[in-house]
Amino acid sequence: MPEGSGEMKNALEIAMEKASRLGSLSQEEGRQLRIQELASKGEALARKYLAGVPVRDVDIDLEKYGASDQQTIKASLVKGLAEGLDIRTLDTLDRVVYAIQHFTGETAVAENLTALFAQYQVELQKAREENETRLKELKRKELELLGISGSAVEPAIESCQQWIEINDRLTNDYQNRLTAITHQLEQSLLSE
Amino acid sequence: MKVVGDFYAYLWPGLTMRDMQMYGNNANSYVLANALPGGKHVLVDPGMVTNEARQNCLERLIAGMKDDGLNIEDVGLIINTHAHPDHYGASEEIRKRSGCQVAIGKDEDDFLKMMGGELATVVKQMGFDFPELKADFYLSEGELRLGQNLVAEIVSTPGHSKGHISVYWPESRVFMGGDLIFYGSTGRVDIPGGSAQQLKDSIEKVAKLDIEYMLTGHQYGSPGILEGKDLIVRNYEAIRRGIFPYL
Repeated sequence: MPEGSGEMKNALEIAMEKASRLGSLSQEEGRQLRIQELASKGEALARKYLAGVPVRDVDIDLEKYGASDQQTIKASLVKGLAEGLDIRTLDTLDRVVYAIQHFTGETAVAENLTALFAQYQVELQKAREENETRLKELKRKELELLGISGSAVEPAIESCQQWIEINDRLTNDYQNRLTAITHQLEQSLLSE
Repeated sequence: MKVVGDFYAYLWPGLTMRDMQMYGNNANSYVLANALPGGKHVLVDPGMVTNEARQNCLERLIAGMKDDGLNIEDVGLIINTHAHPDHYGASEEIRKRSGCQVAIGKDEDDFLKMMGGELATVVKQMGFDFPELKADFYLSEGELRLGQNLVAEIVSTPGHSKGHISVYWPESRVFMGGDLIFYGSTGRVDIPGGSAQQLKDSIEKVAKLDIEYMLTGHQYGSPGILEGKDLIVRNYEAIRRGIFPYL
């Protein structure tokens, strides 16, 4: 289509142009493109699994690829699974840990993740116990200033700014540790 | 509309089948005006923001309050009788507008955490939406002092839900019972956390209070407010005879 003809390119023409450019890719560019495709596949599989698809179905998808490609997909799959973890909730932990162990054969990482979550819960509880009385008293005083008091009132420390800050610090620290573990796993899979 | 003294009621339409179909479900809301310093109001059960019938419940509450010369921005405290969305749903939206404190029973907060956590996906698939609620404090059986001289009794009334509370104002003999008891019926007990025996026990406990105005959580085909001790006592008797055996 001539430049400046003012006509819109249709989808087929755009696709053909892109396809024709592919032919001129260098070997390295082609390799990178393939890695990107496989990584996208891994991310998509992670999303499917997190949405509830059984591990067996993910295996079936993976088996369509050769051993080397599978490794690339698995690295991104594990990264996607790890991104489904949130240190604040145990809701997805068992399912994700099971899948990581299944797809990588790594039992140590799975154990590390489980231990990290348990440690976070212990630390959080400890921080709560250490601060609870003081923060409740602060909240009680705040409520009294607003004219609210009495034996029926039990302050919720979750609403205290000080608790939110303590909680955020601890959570960020553990979330970073979680990211470090999963990043290390992803790198080791890519280097295999 | 004014009930008595500084107590106001905002009843969700539901007296007839036609009303129930047209307006859908939402809780009755009650206000005790100027209960807190600075002319701040206490709002019990704000209801939903919007409901399944696409009714703008919150706007209706705001308009009703405005008709009575009360502003939503002047709400200083929301008390939620329990953690069902048709009662507490608009709490956080009202907090945004007024900066008010929000309270609920402790067990209800635990229930909400469960609904928002491990059960969130299942609950959403079933078509229920549990809006977020961040309680500033929990209420349990005991005395709630407001401002200089107002005293309310928080009555633990489980049955419809595990941590259901009611608010009794002894000086005015006003009782706000959420979904404990209605005119001729009671709250349902088939929702998780519900218990028929606890509901019966809670009603018997409340029946010992000196109540002149029973402000209920819904108008399910019957008036939302029962006025007069005789009527209230007759209502207990009718429920004991007609409802208790089937709970």
